[in-house]
Amino acid sequence: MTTERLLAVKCAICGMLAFVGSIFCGCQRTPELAGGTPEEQAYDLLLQKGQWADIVEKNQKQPTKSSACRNAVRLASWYLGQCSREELDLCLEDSHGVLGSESSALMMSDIYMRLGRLNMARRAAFDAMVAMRSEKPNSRALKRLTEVSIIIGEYDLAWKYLLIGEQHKDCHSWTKKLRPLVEHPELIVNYPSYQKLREIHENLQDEFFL
Amino acid sequence: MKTCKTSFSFSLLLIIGILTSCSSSPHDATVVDALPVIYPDYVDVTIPVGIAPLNFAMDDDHVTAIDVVVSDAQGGTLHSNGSCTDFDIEQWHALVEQNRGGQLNVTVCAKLDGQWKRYRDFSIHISATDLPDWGITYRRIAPGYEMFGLMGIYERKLSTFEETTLLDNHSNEGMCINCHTPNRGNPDQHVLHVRGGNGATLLHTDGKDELLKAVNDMLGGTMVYPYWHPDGRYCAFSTNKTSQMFHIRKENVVEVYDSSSDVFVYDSKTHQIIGDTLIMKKYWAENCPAFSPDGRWLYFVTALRQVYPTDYDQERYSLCRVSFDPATGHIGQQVDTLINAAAQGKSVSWPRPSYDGRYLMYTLADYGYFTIWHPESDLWLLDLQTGESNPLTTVNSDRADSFHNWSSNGGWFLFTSRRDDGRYSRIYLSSIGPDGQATKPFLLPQRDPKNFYTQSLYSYNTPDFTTRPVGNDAPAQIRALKSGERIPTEMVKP
Repeated sequence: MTTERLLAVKCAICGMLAFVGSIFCGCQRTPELAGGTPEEQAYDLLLQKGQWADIVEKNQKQPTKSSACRNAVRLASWYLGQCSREELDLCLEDSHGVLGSESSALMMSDIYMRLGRLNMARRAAFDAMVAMRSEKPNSRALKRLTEVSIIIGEYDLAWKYLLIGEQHKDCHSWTKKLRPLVEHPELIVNYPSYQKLREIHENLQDEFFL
Repeated sequence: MKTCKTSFSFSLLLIIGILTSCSSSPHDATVVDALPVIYPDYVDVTIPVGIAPLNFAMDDDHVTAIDVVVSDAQGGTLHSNGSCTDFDIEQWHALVEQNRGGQLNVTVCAKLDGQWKRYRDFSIHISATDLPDWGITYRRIAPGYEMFGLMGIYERKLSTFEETTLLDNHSNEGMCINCHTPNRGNPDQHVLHVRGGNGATLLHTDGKDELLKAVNDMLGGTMVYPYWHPDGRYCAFSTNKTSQMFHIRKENVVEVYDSSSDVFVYDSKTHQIIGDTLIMKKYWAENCPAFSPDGRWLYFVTALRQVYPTDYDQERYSLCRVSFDPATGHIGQQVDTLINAAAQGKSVSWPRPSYDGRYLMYTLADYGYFTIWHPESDLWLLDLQTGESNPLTTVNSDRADSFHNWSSNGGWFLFTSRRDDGRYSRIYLSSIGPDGQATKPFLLPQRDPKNFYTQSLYSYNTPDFTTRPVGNDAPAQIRALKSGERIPTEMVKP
């Protein structure tokens, strides 16, 4: 069997699993689980702070069973030079079952964003937005949607998300920062991290994530 | 806080005063030789009598106030002033009714940087063709891929802004509620599907709800995309094993595809699933069934299944039909191909015959059938008398234009489009003239549409017309769904 064929078969199987997973996992999650487990929330906090050594150490003390937390450990290991980028990318290829809660989706969105996988960062942010089944948008997820829209150049969407964020006090810290960029997209040259992510995105070869 | 004021007068003197000074608010207005850029774009649209007021605002967010006068040739006027228009509903209806088959003139002044500007007037055309339906139904859902959030099925009265919840997952264990489909707009017969632990196919006929077992083991799946037979006994469905995969780079973002799909007819009297090898062919993916208005034909699309992910963009659906005998429930012996999409390098989906039998509207995309994720997808119209097929150029946009349905008299249709921002589907309405040409579509009106649509994180799915309020008993339906009692279906093949 060729590599391409193997990949096709793998994709088909994982795709079906993902679909089935989305039906059954999605419908049966409880409000407590929707927010994420305490472990996921702890890893998420360390990830946000970039405490890579602490993430690896935490996993060494008690190996995590959460798929999202495992990905955080992989990212931390990569930052610490303990694994190659190729190994990291391979592990992140299959996102099936990873986006099971708000915390895990936010964590995965951050991981994908750090690696310049903007479509996937956005996908995870959308799942974080719906996880709690609340009318109030998740500030962090909304910020991510705005950022990705700006970087990809979808300014209609960026403007929409910004205006929504401006209606919610807990979003004001980032809406103030991003409004000038949404109004004047050419200012992205003054935002090196976004500029770099745009370059990474534009140079990506298209392939599929599951 | 919005401050939108309306006054109504038939006084000729007042009109002259308004038109010359652009109301008391605007002063020293600079005349601009351009049409106003407004949201929604209601410039030169055609509307039916009875539609809710077409409120709008300037597209430019820096505009602080607008002053709008809507007038007719007989001296009738409406005036609105504020951050957006907010026309009085009754006065709007009176003015529109008086101009059936004619047009209204709209004068817009806008205040920007403290200065008033007066733009070139534009028209709103009032169709002579009625839109007899009471309202529309739709699902609203926020984008989510592995999880889903709040969602519901709603009905919306077309003459006002009133929306009513038919069924939602806000107050129960997070059901995933799918497409609500009436029989040609008649809510006495409707069907919807609920996924998950309490999953079922809910069929409403003869004044009662029947909850069918979600999955038929012999069918190997659920009842997914429905379309009623006009006599109400039968309902055609597809059954689909759907998957998704995500582009790391491409604009299309996600590919939704079926690893298998078939079409069948459900008999609501016998609870039987009528299958046939012609619509359940091995290696072929049949999908999107629809009955002809006389009930003698079953339209569907079909494509040779491909290998995913390598050949994802090679799956192209052709439009086909097979005869159907409602007296016996038998499916015919021969499949006709009406549009060989594969030969054209395109893919047909969502065939919807007009109820007078003259036209069939469909969506055309480069490949696949899940067209809301295809920016290139457009609406096309097949003339069933001549066999000619043409794009609805006045309707289509450069973003996804998709899922459509006809009004009960066939004069109007609605569809979803992502033309606003490329991500969120909105509902548009348009009419078809005797020459088969569509009028410029208009976005479903809202009291404050700019604020409403900007602040909404929901997409509109599978809209359809409804001839009157659905009147479902939602608490009873939720109780029934939670009960777990389900009617099994039986698979029969001739």
